[in-house]
Amino acid sequence: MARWEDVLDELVRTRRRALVGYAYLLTGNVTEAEDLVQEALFRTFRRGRAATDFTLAESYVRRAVLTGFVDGTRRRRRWEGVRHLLAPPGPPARVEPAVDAHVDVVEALAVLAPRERACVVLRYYCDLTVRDVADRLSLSEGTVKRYLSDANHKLAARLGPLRAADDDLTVTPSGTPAPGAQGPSTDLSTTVQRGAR
Amino acid sequence: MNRPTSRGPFDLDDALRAIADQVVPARDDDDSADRVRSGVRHARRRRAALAGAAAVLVVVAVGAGASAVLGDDPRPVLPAPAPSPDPTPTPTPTSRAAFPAPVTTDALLCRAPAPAATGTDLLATLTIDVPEVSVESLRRVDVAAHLTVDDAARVEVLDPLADAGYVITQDGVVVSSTMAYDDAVASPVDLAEGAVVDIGGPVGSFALCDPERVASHSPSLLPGDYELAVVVPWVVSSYALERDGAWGAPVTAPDGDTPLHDGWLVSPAVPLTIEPDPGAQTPAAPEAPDAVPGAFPGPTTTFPAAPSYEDLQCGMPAPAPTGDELLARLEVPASGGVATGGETTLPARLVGLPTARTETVDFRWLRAYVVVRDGVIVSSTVPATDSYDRAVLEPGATLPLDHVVTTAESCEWGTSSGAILPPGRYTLQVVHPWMLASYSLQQEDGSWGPENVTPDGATVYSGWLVSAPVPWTIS
Repeated sequence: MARWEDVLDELVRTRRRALVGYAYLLTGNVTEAEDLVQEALFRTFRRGRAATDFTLAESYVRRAVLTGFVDGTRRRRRWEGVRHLLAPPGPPARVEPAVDAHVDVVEALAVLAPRERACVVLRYYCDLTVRDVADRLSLSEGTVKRYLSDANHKLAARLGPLRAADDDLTVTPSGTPAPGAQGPSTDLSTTVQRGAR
Repeated sequence: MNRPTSRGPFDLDDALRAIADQVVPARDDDDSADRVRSGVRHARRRRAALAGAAAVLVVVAVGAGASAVLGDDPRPVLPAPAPSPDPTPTPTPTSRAAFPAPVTTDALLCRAPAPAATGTDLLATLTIDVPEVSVESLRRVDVAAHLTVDDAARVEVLDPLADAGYVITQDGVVVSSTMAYDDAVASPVDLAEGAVVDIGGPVGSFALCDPERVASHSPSLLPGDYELAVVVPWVVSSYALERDGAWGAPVTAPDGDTPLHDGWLVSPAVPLTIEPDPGAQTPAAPEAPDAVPGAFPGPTTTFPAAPSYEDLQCGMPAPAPTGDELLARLEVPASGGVATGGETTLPARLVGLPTARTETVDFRWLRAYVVVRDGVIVSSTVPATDSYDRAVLEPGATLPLDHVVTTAESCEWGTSSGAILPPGRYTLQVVHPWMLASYSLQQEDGSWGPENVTPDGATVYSGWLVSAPVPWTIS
């Protein structure tokens, strides 16, 4: 068995569920999440570079999941064309969330725009810094802060005040701290928005 | 639902982790791995097979005594060099030094300069099959085009049909584009020498100036004269060239991964005329000469200067209420009061003008207001934010926008400073971002004018709706 196949087997065996969970946070749909992961695995292993190192491969898959989600519309169109080749028919598509205890959160996430949602997942689930989120999504830090701020307002409108480990989301017109801006906030309902408009 | 459904800080980090942890894939891991393994093997075999097939051609060519002695060094082959007068056979150039600079996705996006048609040096050309195209506004038209591979080239490319599209230009600038950044899977395909691939597809009179694909709807192009070019991705992973009846060695990417050329084929442009929609200009009821109340004398209107975000911050004068000139208004039917430190719900609504249909950037989730005392804003929850959806407000439609207002002083770019407004008499004004993407006006004869948009897809108007002030007392 080729080296890449060993890595693939280990990755699927030990990390697939976590990857699907990650993808589910992005998509809000188990079937789409599984498809997203399946496609990401294919994209990672059809090339040689990342396929022989477990850690690197998982990193590539996660990036491919994120890219696939953000590029959703066209990705879905293409994926539908090859899905029969890579995704088993399996059980009927399940559209309901697999996590009944957090239906409210899943529903709240559903109102976010794709990039807002991606920012939230990367920031609060993956614990990436704003800088790293910006890097992953090829956005500026200011844009990420704006996405996060917008997302937080939307989420707070449905879930109530939020508390999450967070750094300063303040974005000022000149890039300097806003008047009265303080350090890390623990209440996202009070984060400052100062975007492009 | 826009009001909080729970009280107390909600721990988002923990909630997200709990959700992810509880997800159970519906499909079996082994099956998943088997499918991926099978797909990857197929893809790798396909890549290897192409190189192998080309190598066989080389062997045959050499065995037949052809003059092609194939080296590894890339040498230019197009345009074809003149036959050598030297009677001694010399190695025939069978690979090219380099492809020209690729046409990038960036170069095909809205507001980019009109792209030039690509030439034969990419081993294939793209041509629209009709000399000109005409389409009625808001309609689509099928436009036939074809890709032709050079007679002396065989290529392996990512399927160009998977991402075929077009760009529409006007005055030398792209005003409509189906292009988008994409890193999705496209299957490699082998195209033989002289192959002709049909690239037909519908062209809509819609401005898809939405490279991030975040808008659910795009404004339409205005009737007028444009130019249309068809584009397809041209990602060459391998090719072989024929010279004097012999096929050269296959040329593949040095690392087997980076394509030799990653760009687009662009067809020569043809004129595209978008005709006005005759239905939009036909009087709906010619037998009813009475003017429609509130109707507009023309298809467009002039918008007033827009208040800025900064105009709605603390310390600024109370904003002037906006009226029907923005084609919608914010209404707060009741005044109110609240005990210090408390909060109350203030009913508000967004009301569309009966003679206007608007499409705006969707801020229906946003609630913002300013509190004014002595003519000066003393609290403002107006955030600087953005949204990427669109919302249509039908003529005369009403959208409830109840606001929860508090006595918290918000003077830090829309958020609470922690201070509480002291008891007293204030006025309160609800504000709402109002970014018009398009609008259509009812004419005095009852008909509806065309959908007004900007040619570049930018908003027609960007400002704020501001309600009339209502008394608000903090007791």
